[in-house]
Amino acid sequence: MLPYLEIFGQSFSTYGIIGIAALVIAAATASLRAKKYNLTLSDILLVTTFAGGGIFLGGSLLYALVQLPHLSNIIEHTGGSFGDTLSLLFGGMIFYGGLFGTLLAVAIYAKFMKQDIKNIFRFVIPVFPLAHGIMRLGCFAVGCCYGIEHSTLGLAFTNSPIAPNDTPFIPVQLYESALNFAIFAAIWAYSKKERHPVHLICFYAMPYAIGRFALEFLRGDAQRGSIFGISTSQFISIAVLICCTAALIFTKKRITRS
Amino acid sequence: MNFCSACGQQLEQNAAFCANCGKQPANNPQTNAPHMPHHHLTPTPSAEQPGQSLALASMVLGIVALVVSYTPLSLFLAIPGVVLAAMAKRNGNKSGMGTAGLVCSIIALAIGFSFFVACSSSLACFRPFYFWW
Repeated sequence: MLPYLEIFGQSFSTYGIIGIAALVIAAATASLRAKKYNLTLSDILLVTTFAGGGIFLGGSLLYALVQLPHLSNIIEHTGGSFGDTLSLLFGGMIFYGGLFGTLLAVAIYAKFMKQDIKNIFRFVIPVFPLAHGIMRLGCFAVGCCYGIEHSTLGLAFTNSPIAPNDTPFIPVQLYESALNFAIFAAIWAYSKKERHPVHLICFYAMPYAIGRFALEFLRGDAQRGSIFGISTSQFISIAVLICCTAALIFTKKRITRS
Repeated sequence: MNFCSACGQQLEQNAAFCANCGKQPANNPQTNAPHMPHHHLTPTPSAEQPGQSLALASMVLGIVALVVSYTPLSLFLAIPGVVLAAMAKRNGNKSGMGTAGLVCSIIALAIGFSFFVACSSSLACFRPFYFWW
């Protein structure tokens, strides 16, 4: 819809601006509960920076990992230019990589700063779906992650650098955004009481994995990989569901034992 | 002039503890706070904040990163700026200098990110677009 924003005569990618806005809005929302977890302004700023770095690095690394098998095609496409190859190899992000990257970065932060890791997780996880929902609006703006063709439900992009223009696609990015906002509303209420971080992660990841699995059938962007006839993200969704179930059982056992 | 309540040793004016036996004098206002950090117990209360040099380095990096935030150099200055601010905070630094370094570095990081990582293809940037799967 609007891939570039003009600010002071410079054009920026809307995606990047929305990404930063998502981090800021999520951090501001989370800091409503900063007092509860005894976090100061510099704590919040540092956690946000670490979480942002985790999203970026985790999402990019997983994307590059999935692209690796196609490396020879990429090199052929770029004509062997090192910079172009690198920018295509790291040219995208995968949500699940971003999620794992954030959890890891926040854990490293808490360990490094000798802070209570559970409290930091309780602070960060509830606003993660909020940030994700806002970032999906960025997808819609630039035209990536588009849906399958549909004449009545579809919306056509006019100047997208990624999606084919003037073809009506189902706005699956907006559906996914709505899914995330709904999960955010639920988890925000759920996390009012003190919850175990594993419960919080599963409260977000399980409904999202189910929703994502369903929404993948509406996705029309073709260049993404597939394993056994299902997309990589559907494969990870199933893995997330299994891991969450195992983690919930394991946590329940540990709680009842102690 | 005060005397130690435990051993009778003469105490200095604002001594936080007795130089002879180490006991804290009962009438010292500094001893009222529980869990006193170690550096507050030293007889020189004007001692510097811990990790002040890290905070200073972070602020310098942050300000320079802000000034050069229209070049890719800002990213390479702002990231160490954030890390140094984190290290200063970890050492117990609560000064405004550390916070200033953190805020400057983060703003420079955000500007550098929008300019050089998430920019449009019309600029010389590292990555033309994002695809968020």
